Amino acid sequence: MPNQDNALDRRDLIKKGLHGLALLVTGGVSGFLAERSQANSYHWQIDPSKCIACGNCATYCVLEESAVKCVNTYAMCGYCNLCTAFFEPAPKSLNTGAENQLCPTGAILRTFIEEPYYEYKIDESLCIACGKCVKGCKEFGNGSLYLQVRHDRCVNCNQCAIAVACPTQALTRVHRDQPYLLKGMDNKA
Amino acid sequence: MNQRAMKKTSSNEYWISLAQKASVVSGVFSLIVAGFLVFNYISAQTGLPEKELLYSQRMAEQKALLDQNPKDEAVIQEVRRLDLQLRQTYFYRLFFSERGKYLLLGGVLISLVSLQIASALRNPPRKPRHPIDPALETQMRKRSGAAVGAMGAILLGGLFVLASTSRNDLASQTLTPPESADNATASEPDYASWDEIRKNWPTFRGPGGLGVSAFTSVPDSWDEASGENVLWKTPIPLPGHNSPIVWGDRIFLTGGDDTEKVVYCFSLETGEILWQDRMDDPPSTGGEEIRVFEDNGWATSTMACDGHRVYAIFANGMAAGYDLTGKKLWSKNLGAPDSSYGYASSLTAYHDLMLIQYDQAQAEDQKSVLYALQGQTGEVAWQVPRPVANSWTSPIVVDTGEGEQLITVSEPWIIAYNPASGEELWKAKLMGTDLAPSPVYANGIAYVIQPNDSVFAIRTDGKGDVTRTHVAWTASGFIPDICSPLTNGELIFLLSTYGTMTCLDAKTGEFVWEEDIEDSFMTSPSLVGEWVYLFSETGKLYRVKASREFEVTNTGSLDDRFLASPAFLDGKIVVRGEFNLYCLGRKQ
Amino acid sequence: MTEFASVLQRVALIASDIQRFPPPDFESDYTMPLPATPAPRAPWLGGVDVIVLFAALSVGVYLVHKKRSRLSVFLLMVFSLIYFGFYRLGCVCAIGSIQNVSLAIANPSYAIPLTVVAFFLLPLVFTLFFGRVFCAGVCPLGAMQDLMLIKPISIPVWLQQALGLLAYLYLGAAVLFAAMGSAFIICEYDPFVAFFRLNGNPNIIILGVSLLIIGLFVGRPYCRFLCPYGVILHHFSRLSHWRVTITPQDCHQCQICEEACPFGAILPPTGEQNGQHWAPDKKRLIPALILTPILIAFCGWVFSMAGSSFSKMDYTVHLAERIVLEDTGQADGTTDASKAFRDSGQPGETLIQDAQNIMDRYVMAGWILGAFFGLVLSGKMIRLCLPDRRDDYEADRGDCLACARCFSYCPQELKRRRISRTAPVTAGSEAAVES
Repeated sequence: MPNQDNALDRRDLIKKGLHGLALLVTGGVSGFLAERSQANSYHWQIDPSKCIACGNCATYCVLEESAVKCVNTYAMCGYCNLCTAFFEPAPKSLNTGAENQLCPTGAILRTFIEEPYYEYKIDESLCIACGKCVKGCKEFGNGSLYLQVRHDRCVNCNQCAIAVACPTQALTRVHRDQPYLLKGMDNKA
Repeated sequence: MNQRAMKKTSSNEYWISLAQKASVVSGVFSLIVAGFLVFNYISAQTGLPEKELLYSQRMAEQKALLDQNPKDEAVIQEVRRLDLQLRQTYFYRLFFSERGKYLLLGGVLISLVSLQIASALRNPPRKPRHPIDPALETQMRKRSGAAVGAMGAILLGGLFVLASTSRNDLASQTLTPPESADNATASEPDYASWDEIRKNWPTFRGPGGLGVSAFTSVPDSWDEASGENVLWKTPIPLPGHNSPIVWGDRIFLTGGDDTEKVVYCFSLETGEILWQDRMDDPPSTGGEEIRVFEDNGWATSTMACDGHRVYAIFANGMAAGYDLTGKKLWSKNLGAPDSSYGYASSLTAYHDLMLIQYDQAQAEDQKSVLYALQGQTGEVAWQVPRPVANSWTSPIVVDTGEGEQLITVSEPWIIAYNPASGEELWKAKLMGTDLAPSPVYANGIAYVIQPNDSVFAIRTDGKGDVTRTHVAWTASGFIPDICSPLTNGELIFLLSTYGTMTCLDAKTGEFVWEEDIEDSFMTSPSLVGEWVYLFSETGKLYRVKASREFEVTNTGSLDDRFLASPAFLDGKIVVRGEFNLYCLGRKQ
Repeated sequence: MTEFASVLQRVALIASDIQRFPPPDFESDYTMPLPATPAPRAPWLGGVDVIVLFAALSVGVYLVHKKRSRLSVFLLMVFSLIYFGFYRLGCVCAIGSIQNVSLAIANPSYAIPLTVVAFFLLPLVFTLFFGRVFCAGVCPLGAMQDLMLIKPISIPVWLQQALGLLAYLYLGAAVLFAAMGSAFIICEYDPFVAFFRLNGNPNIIILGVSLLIIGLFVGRPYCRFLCPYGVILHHFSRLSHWRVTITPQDCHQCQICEEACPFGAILPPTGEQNGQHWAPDKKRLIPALILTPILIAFCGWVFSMAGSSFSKMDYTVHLAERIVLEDTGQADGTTDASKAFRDSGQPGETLIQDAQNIMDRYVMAGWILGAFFGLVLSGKMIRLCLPDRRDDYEADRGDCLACARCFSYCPQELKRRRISRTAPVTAGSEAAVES
């Protein structure tokens, strides 16, 4: 019996030692992480220079209505009458009839400004991030239209599902201070 | 068991059955909602508006109808109606699924919580007691050990199968030594070698843009009236001043008018059109129309070929790349060129790059750019801004022995670049306005013409601004206005549109001779062996001896006007008239 | 005006874009709008999450150790499910934070957010003192499965032990892929997060639904057999300062708790047989000890063989392989990725070189992962040969999820709390509480 008690004591001691060790390790890891950590959170964003507007943003987002939307940097926009982002290739006529529009959801609003310029504005509630207009603008226009993660919609998953599906690794983690990668702008929100 | 316990039991029974009923009701409800959601999901899978099965066929039909008859108001109305219907369906589905999910969640939660309540109220499961037996413990441990071992074996086995069956193409790449891998890629670059280029006529004025034929086997006389040495003649559907280029058995040229611009491929054997492609119209120019001088036209830039692909550009700024079989690889709009007569510079190719001298407006407008587009994709490989005004010359790529140079002539700068990177090598500020003749090169000297004024010989071994340091000689006299010069290395020949031909010594610029040919010329002279071939605007061939003694024969005549420079192949000459494409050669 | 010029300059810097049409000079008084940039979630809300986590853990400790009430733990669980699950949409969670921590340790350029550090460490520290309270009432994934548990069946101990290996493998793989910077597999294949977001990849939803259906009968299958964080918590819990006790008083060995535990964490007393069970099972222990290094080496070898297959999770390797397949004519056409790569004009050799380097690193990592797996395997074997002593029905310190179910069934506990509970009287049952 005393043997057994000794054994019990020994086990207890080992357990206590290991408990202390685990505490130490946890403390060490927390110290290490504290050094590498920062209060500033990260958010996902699309680098427009890498984006090829493949359409994955529309389908792979964990939200049914993607957190990605199309954005127009007006300072780059040509305000073209024949906008290749707005119109189908070889449009029948340059008006807003459905037969001429490229956008499947009619999310681009075309407004006459002055001869011969038209403003193109994205209605975000309709935009599904399919990227059709982005392609049209990139290939034939100034490339002022591009896709961006909208942070009021994004749930900021630890691993963005679009980033996994993106063929060009265009989704990157950006700093909270600079949550958008806007073309032709100083990237501060 | 006493009364209280009995009471408790019955009240428990009551709550249990209530909870059970609640869970059944909410469970059934959830199932129905889930069914709707799954149905909604499946139909939504095919239901991005454009993909929607039911409507998209009708939409496609209607759009096809519309293509045939763009003004059909009824079809337009139908397309609009369908579009609206599609979008409504799509957004309704989104709305439905969003609400449905919350309903489902609520239903499932209620169902689960009531089930939990019911089971919590129910009594714990009871089984007959088993005796406490150390043998059971031992048995459990033995079984567990075996099971852990088996599991480990299964996992390891699975990994082993994964490792041995998965193909690994990169690993096999490691096995081949890197040098041989390099050779493998180097032996098959995606463009033709210089040897292949010399056997063809891939750019304006042929290999290197020098106007020199590699073959002397071409005919020296022909006559359309008698059919002598005219192999075939094919009408060209659309006008254009660009010159034919030839690769292998294919001739490439473009034609265009105000309404359409087309790339043609003709068979060198038969003259039939093998393929043609109508270039897309450029998108809106923001209201500004592109205007071209009528004498320039829409299709003045000669195409270029790198052996694997051909490239074309039109005066509206649309460029495209094709493979030799006519598959369009890409097309690109470079923006409306701001050129006072219309864009006319010919393309050239270097390796798999398409080089475009895109000179526009005035120097101070800073609109001129030299583009190198990746031939396979049309992406910009590099681009450099050019401090020059609009010009109508074509760039040439030459090998100086100390590296390749891309020589461009514009107002006011002559600039040479590294054709691989766009790095500027040297430049000279010598030029005035309205430049059309392209430069030529021989023996370390580039010859550049200021129309109606001077010819400059510039040594190409300079760096930076060589205006004051590397001009070997200048000469003036009857300097041409449109036609490009020609050199055989010893002599340089200049031809003006009104038929005055001048011969200078290439090394010193000394005057050798000057003679008048009673004809007018828009095409650039070409060198075949010791003869200079001149194709006149009136359809005649003049052969001038490339020597210090002037000698001329008139041995060819065709019923067309010649404005484009001919292509020289083995035994054949391809020349574009105003209306027809001719292939000249000895009949077998 | 200078501002506008600087905008234009920036525009010109974007090489891939061609400014084909100059921005117009408007004659009317139209002003160009700026793109809207809605701000991300405020950072202090991340602090709120940490506070809620800390509070939930503390409340959990109180409920499990002091109040000892299943109903309260259940309510805490529902709260956590709603807050961390449906409100915070399951991100970030302690399980996923393993990957961020691995990446932060492996890659100094990755700065891990403080919130994530807190989510990783707080449950560990709590477990080290109070057992797996986190699993019981705070983890939304556990809560989800716990809610689904309707008709628990007990599965044999040996099967439980064998399936337990999967979680170690999952943990190892998750750390490996995260440290390599290739993938966050825990997040990518999280079976339940889609339910929180009410949307997700259909395949993952099918996986989640299957797990939940299994979970109707098998208590918390993900927690017990897959959860990588659970592995760490298991070992920390074994060392915990205060353990979850079924009964504060004498155990009557009525066996009810064993039946009541849906997670197979309560084991019967080992009994005594001439003190024999105290002795290690030397017949099996010695070969197990000798085999350990061999097993480690063997597993290392097998995993290193599979290293190049693992490396396909990496973007660069995947892309390089595709490029090679296309170049050698083994694959037709291009994918979006390969086309974009070719369009970028970057040299393929560099890509392939990079990919091969990554692959080599994966082979190395395969050795480490394999050695870890071998160690786990032999550790489990050795442990099964070592003596253990349970005088009463006790919750296994590692496996116990502190769900507090057993409390509400233990007659001694009920007696202590003066709660009567009726039960059908079975022959010789000491559980029927007479009041």
